[in-house]
Amino acid sequence: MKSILPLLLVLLATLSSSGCGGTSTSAATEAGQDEHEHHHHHEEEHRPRDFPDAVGKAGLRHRGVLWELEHEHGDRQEFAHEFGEFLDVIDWLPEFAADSDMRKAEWDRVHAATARLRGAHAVVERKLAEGTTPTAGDVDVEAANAAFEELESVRAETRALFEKKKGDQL
Amino acid sequence: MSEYLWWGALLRLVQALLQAAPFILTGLVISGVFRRLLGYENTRRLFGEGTWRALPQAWAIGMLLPVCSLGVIPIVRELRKAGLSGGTILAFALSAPLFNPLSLLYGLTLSEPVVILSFALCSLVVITVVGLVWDRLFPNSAGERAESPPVPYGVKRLVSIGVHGARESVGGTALYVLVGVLGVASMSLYLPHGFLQFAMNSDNPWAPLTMTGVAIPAYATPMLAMSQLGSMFQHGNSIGAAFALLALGAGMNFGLAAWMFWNYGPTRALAWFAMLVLVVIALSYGVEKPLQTTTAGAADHTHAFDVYCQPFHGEENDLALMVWERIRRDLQVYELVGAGALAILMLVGLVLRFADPGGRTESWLERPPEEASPDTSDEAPKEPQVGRFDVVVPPAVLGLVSLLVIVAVSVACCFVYYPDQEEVFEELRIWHVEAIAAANDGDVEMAEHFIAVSDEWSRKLEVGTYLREWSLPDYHRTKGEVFRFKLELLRHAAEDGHEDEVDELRTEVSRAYRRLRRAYQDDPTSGN
Repeated sequence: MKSILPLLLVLLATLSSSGCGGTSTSAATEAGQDEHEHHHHHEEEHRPRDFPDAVGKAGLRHRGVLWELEHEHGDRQEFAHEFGEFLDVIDWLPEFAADSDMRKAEWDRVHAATARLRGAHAVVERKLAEGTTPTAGDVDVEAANAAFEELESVRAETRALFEKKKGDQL
Repeated sequence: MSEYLWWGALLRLVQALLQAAPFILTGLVISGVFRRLLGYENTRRLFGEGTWRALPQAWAIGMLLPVCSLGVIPIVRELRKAGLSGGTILAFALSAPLFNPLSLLYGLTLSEPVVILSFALCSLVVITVVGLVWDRLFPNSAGERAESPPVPYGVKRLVSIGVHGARESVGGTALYVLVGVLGVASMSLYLPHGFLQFAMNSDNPWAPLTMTGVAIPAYATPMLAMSQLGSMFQHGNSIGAAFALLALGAGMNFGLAAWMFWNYGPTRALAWFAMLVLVVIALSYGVEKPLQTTTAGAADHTHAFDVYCQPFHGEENDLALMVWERIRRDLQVYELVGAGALAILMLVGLVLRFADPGGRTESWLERPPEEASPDTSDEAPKEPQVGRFDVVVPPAVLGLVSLLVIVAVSVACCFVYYPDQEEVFEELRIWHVEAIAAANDGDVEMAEHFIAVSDEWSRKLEVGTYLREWSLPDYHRTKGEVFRFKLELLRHAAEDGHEDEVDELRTEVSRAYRRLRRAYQDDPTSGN
């Protein structure tokens, strides 16, 4: 029976030449670091503290986005970055709400309001991705306001949960 | 070479063998069914040989049968003997290890089920394109059709499957499996500890290529590949790399490659290989943007691929003990049972190999039943061979039923592998407390292990719920995500040795667990 070892060696050689060359240096360096730095969700500067904070910050950023769009933002890249962070805050809302004692009924309201808020800014997001300039008319202000009203309402109804949490931490 | 490298390679080799054992056993049974029950003619018919349906049919059969890329080896050996074309066999060989009912269910409950479904369709594209081109380039790739003599009905049929499995387990299959696991072990010699932690980030344009290089020698069971995909989605890693991992990490290994080279020759095998890699790379870069999951707040590294690298740093003492401890710690019950059964089968195979090299056992099994001795009584008619209500089931029917039973059993196993909520919470309670305790004690290795176990149980909770109720409310899914997020933070804090953070996160993990439990108790999933 022929030995299959040479075949294995051929394969190994083929793979070695086409293998991990692209990132080997950086990956090896990074993996070799004793104290490599990790960047986690909780370390991001624009990440809110908790659900009430997230609702507040989302509202502020929404107003900022509208103002920028109405006053013809100068630096599109800067605006796109700010807008990206605003979307992050929206996406974090259900996660923050779940990281509390909020019951399903209230959480579902948050989830639905988040989806509505996302939808209200979908055209702006698409235009930025396409490289075209969005305008204030691209935001569905009515839907966004309704979503914020709902979020504010849940925040008010569940305020006690978060005050209790702060108390626990103290 | 440093001693720790060899110990690391040994650990990876044993781990791969243990993980593969249940699948190899299943593969041996399936190959026995093809040979002894279904027969080669019916096997060709089952795979639609010679029709346009052959490739998609091979893909569909592969998706249903619960085997891995090592367990598929005895099956493809049998399909070759049955005279199937090379393209069909290779299509089956590549698709069978990608998904099975267990792993598909797991995949569908991940946060991005559409990605898993897209991956499944992409795998169909891969095997169809590669299979069609390969069959066109190299027609008449089917091997010489062998014939398997029929075995008389009764116990002999079952015994013949066992005998076939026993011989295969110490024959050609064993050799190719050995090549496959040696490939896995060799990876740990040239990939240093934690080498791939930063290599698969979504902003790394080389990630799909790197994964392609790593995934071919790597061995991943369908479940391992699926859980790694879950981890990649969670970390916002490259989707293209995730597809390459599934297609090549789960679908291919050195053992299967060696089988191809041996059976089709270097030119044909290299051509197939080159086409496969090209199509996988093209699809990887093609799906990278459209299927990209949100990367908001993604961590910059992942431990999902540590299993392919050297397990030791080189500073450990008493490596033999560490290898033993890790094997003992990671060993699952089904792996132990599979390995035990495979060991018995191999023992029988060895006995047959040395005591009966000429195949007298098979000749005896294939011998037709002797004619019943003529009845001496004048009145009584000749006794039939079977009871009045017994029906002799044709072997082909039995073979088809056997395959269906294997699929049905694998579906039924889902209910065992993904238990009900009460059982999961009992496990989760124990493991998350162990994780917290290990992190608190500064035992990073144990903390990492228990965190991984807790993570897995929290996913089983979701799959088990989905399996029983065919839905999983977003509320419960998000509670699970928060729990896993806190576990991950705890792991990073423990790894970085930040005691203050560990102290804070102990409370957060406990709180997230209590909330997860309360969510399922106070707002039952069945009420939706």
